[in-house]
Amino acid sequence: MDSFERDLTDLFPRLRRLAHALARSPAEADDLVQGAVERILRGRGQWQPGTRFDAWAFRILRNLWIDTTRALGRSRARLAPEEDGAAVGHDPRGQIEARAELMTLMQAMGRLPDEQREAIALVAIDGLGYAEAAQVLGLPLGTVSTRVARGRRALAALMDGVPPMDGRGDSDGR
Amino acid sequence: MDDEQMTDEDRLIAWLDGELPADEAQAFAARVAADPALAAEAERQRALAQRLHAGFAPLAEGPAPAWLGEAMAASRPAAEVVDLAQRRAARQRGAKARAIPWSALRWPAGIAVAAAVVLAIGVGWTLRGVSPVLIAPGADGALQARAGLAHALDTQLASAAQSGPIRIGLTFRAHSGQVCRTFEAQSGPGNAGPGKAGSGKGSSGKAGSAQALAGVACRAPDGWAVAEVSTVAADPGQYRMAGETPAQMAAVDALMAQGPYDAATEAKLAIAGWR
Repeated sequence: MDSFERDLTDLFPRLRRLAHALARSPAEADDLVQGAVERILRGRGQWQPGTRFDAWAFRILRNLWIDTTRALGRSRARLAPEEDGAAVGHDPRGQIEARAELMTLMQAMGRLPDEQREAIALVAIDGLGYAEAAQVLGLPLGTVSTRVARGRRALAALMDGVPPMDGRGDSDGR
Repeated sequence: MDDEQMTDEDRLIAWLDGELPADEAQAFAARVAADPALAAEAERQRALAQRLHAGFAPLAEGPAPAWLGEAMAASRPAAEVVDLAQRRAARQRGAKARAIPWSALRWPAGIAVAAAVVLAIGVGWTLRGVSPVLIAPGADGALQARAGLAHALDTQLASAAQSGPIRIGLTFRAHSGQVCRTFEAQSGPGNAGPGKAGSGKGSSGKAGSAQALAGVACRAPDGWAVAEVSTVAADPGQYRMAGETPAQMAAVDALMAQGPYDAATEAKLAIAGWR
């Protein structure tokens, strides 16, 4: 395995997570990850060693997501509550709750406009700074911060009164 | 961010995300502390951000799946072709002038390369219309050229006109001292591949496409040992492949100590029995 392949292997979990943050179902996320890996491997000659590998790879995945969602159009099947497929960790006791929570979050994310969802995916879920996210998206920093803020407010409204399934994260007792 | 046009709502989020400059952040923190409504909203947003990150976090845990390693392995020969071509070009520039006008560095756009082929012991390689079995394991299990392929390796010169289904490309000497040659055996649709179905990953073999066996064989005391072989799909109508496949080039690059030989040397080696 060379250093490019090691970088890709190390980044893969974050790619998988980002795909789930962007896609509207675990199945769509899996397809997105596989397609992105194919494009990343095909395009390895374009990556410049010394530059940010994650930003480059994330950009490829995000552009594939844009191409795919534009091709599919706006009609989208509603996420079935019993939909399976998302790998959510190793603890069997917490797995059912963790999967339900992920499904809840994916449903809420799916109701955001694409431009807000991708900003939230990079900043709130992957943890990139605004400048890093702006680099991935090819947008001005001010645009990113506006979309992050709007997306967060929209999500807060959607998640209002929806308690977390695994007891994590929500501190206001509802 | 010093954006005066940023709304207060947006500023709250940026503050929570640590994206405000230090002095602005400090000023905003004071406002939050003094304003219960603002503080409540800040806490609501902070909890949501934590919930989002926690909810998706399990996806970023755990190892990469097995298919990733396979995808990377399958892409490797293609990734190495550019390097190989450059290295071979550099070698060529330093080598003696050749009479063989081969174009091994060009990779025609119409050729599709099958996925790496896994050979199981006991599988023979067939090419219908040419010979019952062209490559088969010998007594020691190693693959050997048979029949039409062995004959072509023994007698055909790349510098001469090659009109049959088997074409010889390069002749060179390996580090072992053995003389090796690249070969390509062409046939019609769906005729090439391992003798037993399911014994390995076969070629992509689209219906109607011509197929070929492409590989490298080296002269051993008891015949031609096949060092590398795989099935290759070719566009119909393009009877001759110009140049070696990436898998062939990788094998040549790994094996070659001397060569590729020119026409005169190739002819001498033919007479000397490829020793």
